[in-house]
Amino acid sequence: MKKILIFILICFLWSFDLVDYSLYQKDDMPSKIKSSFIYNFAKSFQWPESNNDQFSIAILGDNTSLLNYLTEMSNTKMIGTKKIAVKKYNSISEVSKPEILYILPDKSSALSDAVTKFKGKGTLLITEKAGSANAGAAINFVIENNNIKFELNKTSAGKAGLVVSSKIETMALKVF
Amino acid sequence: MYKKLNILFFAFLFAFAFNSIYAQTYKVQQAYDCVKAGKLDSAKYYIEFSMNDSLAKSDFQTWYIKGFIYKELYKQRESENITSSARKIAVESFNKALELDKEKQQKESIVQNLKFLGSKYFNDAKKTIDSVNYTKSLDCFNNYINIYKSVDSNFDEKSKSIEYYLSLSYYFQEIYERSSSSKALDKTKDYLFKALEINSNSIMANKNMAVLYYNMGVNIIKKMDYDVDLEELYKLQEEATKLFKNAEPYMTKAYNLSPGDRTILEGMQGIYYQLNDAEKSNEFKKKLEDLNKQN
Repeated sequence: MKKILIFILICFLWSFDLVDYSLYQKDDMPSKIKSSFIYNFAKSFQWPESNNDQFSIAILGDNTSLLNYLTEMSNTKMIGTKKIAVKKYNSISEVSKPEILYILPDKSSALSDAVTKFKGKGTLLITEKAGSANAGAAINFVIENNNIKFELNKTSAGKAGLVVSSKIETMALKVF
Repeated sequence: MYKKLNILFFAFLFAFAFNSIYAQTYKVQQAYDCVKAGKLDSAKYYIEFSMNDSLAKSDFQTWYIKGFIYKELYKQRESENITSSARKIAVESFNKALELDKEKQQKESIVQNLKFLGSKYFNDAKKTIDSVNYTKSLDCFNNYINIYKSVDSNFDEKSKSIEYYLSLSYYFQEIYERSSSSKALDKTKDYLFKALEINSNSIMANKNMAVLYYNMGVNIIKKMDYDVDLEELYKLQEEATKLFKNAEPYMTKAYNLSPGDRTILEGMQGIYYQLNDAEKSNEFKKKLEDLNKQN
């Protein structure tokens, strides 16, 4: 028994420290990319005049890392002179009148209610579900060749009271 | 081990003392006497002097004594010196002794001495395996490999080399992750490729290569500022996607070789997640969950 233990000890000492995944990063990059898109939208769309001292981004549904990235962004960036406020909601009825409402896939059924509720109120509706750009969302994230891109529905944006910049239109994968 | 080596050596010296050939090689005899008395400097002087004698020089026993003297010098005075010349001379002398010992009279003892010195090279290779001393570490490792493969027919050179190159790549990867140094990145890749050249089916080498590419992709997006413009955002995203795609075949190979490995399943899930392939990412997420249920 003693000999076996010594043999095991020698084998252990006589090997290099094999590296197994200690450097593996588990960051959610799609969420960071979407946050950067949202910041670009916030800078590039034109909103109706408002007296709000904050630029409000509402998240409807669950995506903790997206919420974290947007919160991080809000701590360092501003839209013009306005601070960014990010808040998560579970129901469309709780959302008051944000500049941006991002409806996550688990709450995609709330899109039609959101379209009705925020019609002409200067809220940019963002989704990430196939067909949503045709169902009232102004921006819908899609995947093309493993990259995140977006579709733009100018009509929906117009109905919401928003003016679309030419840059956004140019960069959209598809414009409705 | 030291005790056994010394017993073997003094048993050898006993035989040597009565060997008539050495009546002619007086200096070797003096070197032997000095070793016995622990006078290593004198022993070194006499053994070096005896190398001028062609008869002594052609006998394995002279080289054996020389090897022993230098080994003792290394142990007593240079054991902390990774570039010890005494150790180098000891190895050369024992190798010469092995070559000349045609009748294998002292083979066992010579081999044990070489293994001892080889193990010291291995320890030094391990001790110096960092980004600053890595060339010294490589030298030590090569010395270790050369010694062991010449004296141990069961020695697994390939697996030891893979372990070593993976460890070396790790140190450079750590530096790359900290500093984004392109030199460190190149070194990381070089040593991972070396490991894969030796065995393209090494699970660890494939996995680590995948992780390297994966992290490179992650780092591009992590460093990206939120207010990067849309053209740049597309460009950076494509660069990251390309790296995630580079990671995929290595991780897939590792997965095929070891489908029940939790870290590989996590890696597959992670790569497909970053590639926005929800279907495949969820497939591996489910496999992970199933594995967790089993355990």
